[in-house]
Amino acid sequence: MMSGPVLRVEDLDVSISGERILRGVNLEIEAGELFALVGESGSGKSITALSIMRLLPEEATIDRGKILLSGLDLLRLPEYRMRDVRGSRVSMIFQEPMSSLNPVMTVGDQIAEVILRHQKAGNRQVREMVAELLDSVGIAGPSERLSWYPHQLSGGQKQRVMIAMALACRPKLLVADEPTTALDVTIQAQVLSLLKDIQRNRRLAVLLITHDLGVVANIADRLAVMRRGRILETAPARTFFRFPRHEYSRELITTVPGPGTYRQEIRSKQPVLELHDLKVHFPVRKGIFQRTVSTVRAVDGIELEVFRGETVALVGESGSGKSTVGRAVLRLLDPTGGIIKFEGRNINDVPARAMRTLRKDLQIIFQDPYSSMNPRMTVADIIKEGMNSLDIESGQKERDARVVELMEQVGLPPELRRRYPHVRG
Amino acid sequence: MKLVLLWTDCLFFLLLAGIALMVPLSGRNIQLREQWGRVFGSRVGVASAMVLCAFLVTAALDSVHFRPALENAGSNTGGQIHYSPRVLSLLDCIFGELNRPAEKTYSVPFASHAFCKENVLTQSGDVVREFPRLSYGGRHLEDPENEKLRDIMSRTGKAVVHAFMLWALIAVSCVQMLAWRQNRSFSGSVVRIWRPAPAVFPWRTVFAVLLVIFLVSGWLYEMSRVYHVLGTDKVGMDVLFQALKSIRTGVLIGLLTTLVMLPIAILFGVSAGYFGGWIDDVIQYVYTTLNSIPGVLLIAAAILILQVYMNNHPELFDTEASRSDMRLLFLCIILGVTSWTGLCRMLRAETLKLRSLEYVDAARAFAVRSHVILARHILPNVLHIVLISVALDFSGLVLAEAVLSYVGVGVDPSMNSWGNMINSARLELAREPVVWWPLASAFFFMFCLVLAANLFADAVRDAFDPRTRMVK
Amino acid sequence: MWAYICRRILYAVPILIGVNLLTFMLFFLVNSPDDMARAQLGGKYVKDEAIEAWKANHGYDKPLFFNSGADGLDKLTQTIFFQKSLRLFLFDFGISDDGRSISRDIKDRMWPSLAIALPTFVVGLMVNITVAILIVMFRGAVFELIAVIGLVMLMSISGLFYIIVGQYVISVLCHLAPISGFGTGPADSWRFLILPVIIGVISGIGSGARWYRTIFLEEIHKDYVRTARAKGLSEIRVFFRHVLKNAMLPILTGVVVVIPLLFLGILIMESFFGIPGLGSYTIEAIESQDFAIVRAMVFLGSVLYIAGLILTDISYTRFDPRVRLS
Repeated sequence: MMSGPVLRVEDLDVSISGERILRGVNLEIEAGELFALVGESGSGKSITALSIMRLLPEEATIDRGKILLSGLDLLRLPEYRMRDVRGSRVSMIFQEPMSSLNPVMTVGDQIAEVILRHQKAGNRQVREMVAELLDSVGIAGPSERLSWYPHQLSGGQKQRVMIAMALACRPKLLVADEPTTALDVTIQAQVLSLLKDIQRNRRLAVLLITHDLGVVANIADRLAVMRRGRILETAPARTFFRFPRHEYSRELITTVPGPGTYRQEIRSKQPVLELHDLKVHFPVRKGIFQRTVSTVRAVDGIELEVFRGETVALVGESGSGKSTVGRAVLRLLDPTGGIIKFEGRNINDVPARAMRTLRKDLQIIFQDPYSSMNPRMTVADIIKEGMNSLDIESGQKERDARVVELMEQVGLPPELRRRYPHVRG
Repeated sequence: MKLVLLWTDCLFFLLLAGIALMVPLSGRNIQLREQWGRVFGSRVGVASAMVLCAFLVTAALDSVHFRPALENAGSNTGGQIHYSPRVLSLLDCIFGELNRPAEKTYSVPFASHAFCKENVLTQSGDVVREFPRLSYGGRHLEDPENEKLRDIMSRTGKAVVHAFMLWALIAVSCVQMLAWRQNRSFSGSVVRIWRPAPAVFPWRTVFAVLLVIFLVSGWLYEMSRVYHVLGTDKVGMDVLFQALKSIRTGVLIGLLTTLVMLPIAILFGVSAGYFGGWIDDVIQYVYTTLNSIPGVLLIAAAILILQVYMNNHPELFDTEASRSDMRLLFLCIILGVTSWTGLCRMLRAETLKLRSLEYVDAARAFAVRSHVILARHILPNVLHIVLISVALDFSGLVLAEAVLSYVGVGVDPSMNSWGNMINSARLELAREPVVWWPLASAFFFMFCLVLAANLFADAVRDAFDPRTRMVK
Repeated sequence: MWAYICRRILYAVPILIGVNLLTFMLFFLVNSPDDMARAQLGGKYVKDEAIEAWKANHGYDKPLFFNSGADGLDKLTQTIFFQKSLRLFLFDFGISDDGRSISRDIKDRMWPSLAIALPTFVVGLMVNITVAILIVMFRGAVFELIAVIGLVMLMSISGLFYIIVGQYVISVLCHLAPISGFGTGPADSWRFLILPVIIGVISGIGSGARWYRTIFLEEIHKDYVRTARAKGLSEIRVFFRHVLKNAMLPILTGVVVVIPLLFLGILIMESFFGIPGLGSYTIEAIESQDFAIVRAMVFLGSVLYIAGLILTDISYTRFDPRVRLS
């Protein structure tokens, strides 16, 4: 058998449109090892992965370095030979299972495509192989699922299909680029343990790319920390968490949230917010005349009390109705039934006009910082918008002063207030 | 002299004033400035914009209308001045005599003799069939056969020298200004312009295009003083002059239609997307209905109806110019009514997408009023779609004019337009020998305008469309 | 699925009613039948009797919406709106101003129009997509730059130029095809179709191929294409198996948008090449101000467009499993 590392990256430099993205990256992954590459977004992790697959975007160039797969220099292979390598000796799983599968092809066809590309096999044989693969990644009833389309699967199932596809030709190296970032927390754990099992059972080398140290802690054998295109430190996982050598690594480890860090015991008698039997239903329309045939019960009978000075966390999978509760409380959605009481006052039927005054006291922070700020307004205007609308602070000058104060309060330098939200990075 | 304000002139100048007003306004917004910077920072973008500007200036010159005073009539009616029924524009003045038929019929470009043989009475009293001299083209020449080439060369030289001098004056002062502003020596500025860094405003292209525009327009003007540069048509009208006059029609149709279409499309599209419910249903119904009627037929029907109306009410239109102007305006309105649906649908879809974004929810959580949300959060974020579609539609409308005129439902037949030129010249290719110049000129001028518009639209799209930016 | 199709067809009814009302208002409310009669008979100085006679002759002598002089249902049916506008729903187009049956004319002239429009459409679609595929396959090369510039130039040229110059070059200079006219049967008609179809296809390449190119480019930068490449598929296989199939959806939507343009196309083509189809019929009607025919053609055009819309929706279900299976 082959000795030495499965993958070896030496002094890799990559630039995109003239800008250096990777600077002298060195990596080594042994067979049967799960190697994690950790770093914040934009640190060059994904570019490293794509360089290995030689799937870099068109404007990117590899300036220097070597990528050796079991001793074979991938960067020197002509494109047609590289295609033989892709999918059979190295394969890759991407971050977005939603968009990484072809929406108009059945799952079975998409997996079979890899097998047919790299192996000689008859139709029936391929079908059996695909069903077996689906079974091995934990998809129930695999032979029926062959003819399903991606949109019929859940996010976790899609990522399992991606894994099956990647394993189809028994590669030596699996590159997984943030495979769980787009998934719910509960499903993340399942997919990760699946990856770990497969890696152990098949003695596969895995390069796992993630921004989340928490993901890595339990499953990685070794890991490397990356920042601004450089590898800062490479270490076995155990020693890394105990004795991080680099300043930045230490910083990363302390920011991993653990349970029980924040807890306050200030309880007052009177709840600020009370929900009784809150229901939000959405109609499902069907048929020629769009009759309402059934309803989706997004929120069905919630009981909740929030006291002054208290932070209540509402936890659940996506689609479980958490956000709907939030929006209903703010009356951004109209509840179908139940009672919402704010400071003892029932606000279900408060007319829109009176709701305006209530909004001074009820506010929301949204999930996605990209879509919750208007890209065409300056930071100051965004912060001021609410004050303007709700008549908080008397004049423009006071409001401007308050903007500066608020920005300092949340730890933003006030100079940023004239910038646009997305330039800030 | 009495100024005549035609409806289309007013709207055209209003529109130009509006554009001029937008420039400093959008200059204040960093993002818009950056995006327009990208449009004009690309060589293709700035070059096409300059060519478009040249067309716009011609159209503007041709939009200042007046009726000259009749000289002899003024003296004998005691101070009462009479005005000619003919409406002239500044462009007519520049080209002087060319605004009425100068020759009897066809003549080849730069000809000094007519295209067809005629019976000519010689001095000895015989009737001879020969090619007679033209009354305008090359009339200053004694012996056209031998002198013409030299005359053309010397005039070309003169035009080139003049154009070059004017260009040099402008270029030098521009470079000097730049040098002052960037605190550089004059020669340093020249070197920077000649060898630009990738991200610098393409001055070199600007100067090159400016030179070309000066050379071409100077040469055309100089030559048109004594020759028919592009020949004459069937009734002896100068083709170059006609083609230049047609610029106004083409530009106006492109611009005024947009002016009609934009308010409808934006209002309906955005409110359908934002408010949803029955408003959405009604607006969707209206545009699907309008869209399903073939545009040409709707335009044809409307124009036919206008014609019947005009025939039955001749008293409302005092001059021929105001008559054809009314028809042009009406055509723009009809084109606007038929073409807002596409933009409206795009705006509706985009607004639907924006409405579900969290910053709109955030604004609603702050109790910001609907019309403020529309103005502040929705409109600025759909603006790129409006811009791109306006830029793309312009060229399509210019092309559509020709086709509509061919079908007979375009602008008034008495109006100068490329469509009318093509329409009246389309059988001339069948003549023997072939009369190609009226057709070729109309197509060439139209091609220049449309190509410039298309290239500019591409530059605008590249700069404003988030999708193409992502692809690049 | 069937419910979906039925719903689509039901949606078409109010739209057709809208079209009908709109054309009715356009034709009868802006100008009264008196005005039309005057325009037909020529000028202002027509005797009132002549106008009345013309109106009676063409069935315009009834009230617009409500006939108070008639009994019962006739109050509504003996009106111009019912007789001239609502009858269009039954594809009963009435008679033209010179007294011919419009329905029969349309039936006769339909075939030459189809004979031009269909081949132009199908061949054009294939040529445009092929050109777009070639450009996308060679992206990054000099070929792409030249081709893209070429396409902008092509689409900046007036359609009339293609027709006039094409006719001149192919028929007059090279004698490759007859200039214009149409045969009596299919056997000798096809020769006359060559020229219009070729010109129709060429004049559409510029904008068509550019449009498909942007669709392909957008599709080719999506995540699933990267997945396909990661499988080791060749660029050609990636394109034909993955990109093309997904691009069918926006292409389908675009094709319907082209249908009204097709109408404009045959309008010009037929009158230039002397083909006795619906296009030249319409142009003749416009020139002779025959409102009855124009009205019929407006209605027919809308019906075709709406049929196209419904067909697209149905074909969507064929190409998009997300629609088919929901």
